[in-house]
Amino acid sequence: MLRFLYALLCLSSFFGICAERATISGFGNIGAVHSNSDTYRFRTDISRDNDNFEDSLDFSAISSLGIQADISLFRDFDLVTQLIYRGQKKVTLDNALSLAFLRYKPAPDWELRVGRTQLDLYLLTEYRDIGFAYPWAKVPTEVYALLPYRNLDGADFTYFKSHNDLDYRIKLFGGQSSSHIALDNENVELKIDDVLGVSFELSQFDWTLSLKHTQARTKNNISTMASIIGGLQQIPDVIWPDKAAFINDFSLINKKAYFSSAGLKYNLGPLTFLTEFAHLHSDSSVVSAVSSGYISTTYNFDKGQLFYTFAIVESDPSEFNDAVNIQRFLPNQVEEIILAVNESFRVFSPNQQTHSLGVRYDVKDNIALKLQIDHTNIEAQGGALWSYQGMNTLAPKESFTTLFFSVSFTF
Amino acid sequence: MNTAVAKPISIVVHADNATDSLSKKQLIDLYMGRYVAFPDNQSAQPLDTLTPEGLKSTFYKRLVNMPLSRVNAYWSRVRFTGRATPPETYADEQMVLNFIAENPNAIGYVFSDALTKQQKQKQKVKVILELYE
Repeated sequence: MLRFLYALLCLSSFFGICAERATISGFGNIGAVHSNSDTYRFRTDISRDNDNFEDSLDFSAISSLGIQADISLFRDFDLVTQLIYRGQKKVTLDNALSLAFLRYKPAPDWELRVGRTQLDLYLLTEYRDIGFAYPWAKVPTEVYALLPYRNLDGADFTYFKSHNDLDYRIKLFGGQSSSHIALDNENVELKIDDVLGVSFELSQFDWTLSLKHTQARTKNNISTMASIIGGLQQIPDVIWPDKAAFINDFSLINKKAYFSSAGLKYNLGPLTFLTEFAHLHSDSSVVSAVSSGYISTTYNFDKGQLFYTFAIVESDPSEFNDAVNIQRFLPNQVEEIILAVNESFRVFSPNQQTHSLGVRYDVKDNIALKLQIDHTNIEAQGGALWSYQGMNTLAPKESFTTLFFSVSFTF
Repeated sequence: MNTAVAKPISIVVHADNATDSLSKKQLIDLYMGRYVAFPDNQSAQPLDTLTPEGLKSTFYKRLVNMPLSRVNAYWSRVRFTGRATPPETYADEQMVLNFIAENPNAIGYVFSDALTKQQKQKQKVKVILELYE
């Protein structure tokens, strides 16, 4: 697939010179984050490295720069490519290429895109890295930080219909994706394939109702899961009759994951209301059922926006119910394995709430200044969305404040 | 006083375009990349213009009641997710009218008084909607 994407990138370079209409544009965000917690450090999502514990002012967490080429090829065909830098430690073509697709649009009401597109899991996932597009300094952590995936290598089909002042848009998409997940001291890859999704939007210009559902198959175990499973398999069946079923549930290999979201945006005079509820669960016991949501109110005035957002995420991590019984027979041999299993159960199990208050002011038509203050309450063992150095099972309950300042721009 | 605020704005297309009138909702769909086609399903090519001063900002204020910075914020999420590209921008009203005169699927906007000064161009373009304050 990467070869195909590379070919699209080369094509876009070639046609960018030759094409009748080629436009280059871009976007960026320069931001600083400061938190008064010594335990947790902010990160936009769980793919961001878990190592920024030395600086109290973080300039990389919400900073990004993207450049895009839109190229009209022939009648009905166009190419779009986009590269983005958002603090990757090692920049590669694969992790910097966020869009590279060929679009076929023979009629105004439908289109087919093939190549790399942005993964349309929840309401804001497609443009969460484009700071100029929204009023906040960053999208709500509670809903979006658990989603490391950004791109879909595959195809999508969109159909649009306008009827009786209502607009209907339905998008079907399929393909595969890959992302890294930053754990305690390592960064591991988790691939998903057989991604199948549907996105439905019903709207007028003043409001949009959005419903999305995607299912995907995780392809590999992460970090020490393989060795944990190896250790569990050593426990005799007579001590642990449910061993096979437990191990099967524990593994991430070939397990379905399900992402669902319902969102509503409504403009009422100078006010904009935005709310979304999202749910994630998996057939693997490692990924607990996670429910999250936010409600945001924005007051629009002249060139400014004042906003308040409340966001919450709740999850119910799996428990190793047979641990007590096994430990009775093999206390010394299994203690570390049981600890490791419980640790794995908390990698994808956040529990926290945040109140956010902030302002955006557009100093020019394409430059915005943003200031945002967050007050976050993290439950014990619930800080999975943050950079945290230590065992998840020992992560403390904490309340703290985080300050964001950024300059967002387009060109 | 900003005179641009009070002047009517004409939405113009090629004289041979099958569309004779457009609703404001259809114009919003066209200019905001939602459904870039005329009512007969023919693809459209919307145009923006940089001058005269105040025309573009007045047009979008009347169309969607937003300042240009919020229109740009809207377009940044449409454009950078690969959904659609914003209208092509021309330097002035005359260039917009010239382009429309040569392209039956183009659509643009000018201050209505610019058309009365351009009777020759008016032969090739027609007004399908007027936006008032």
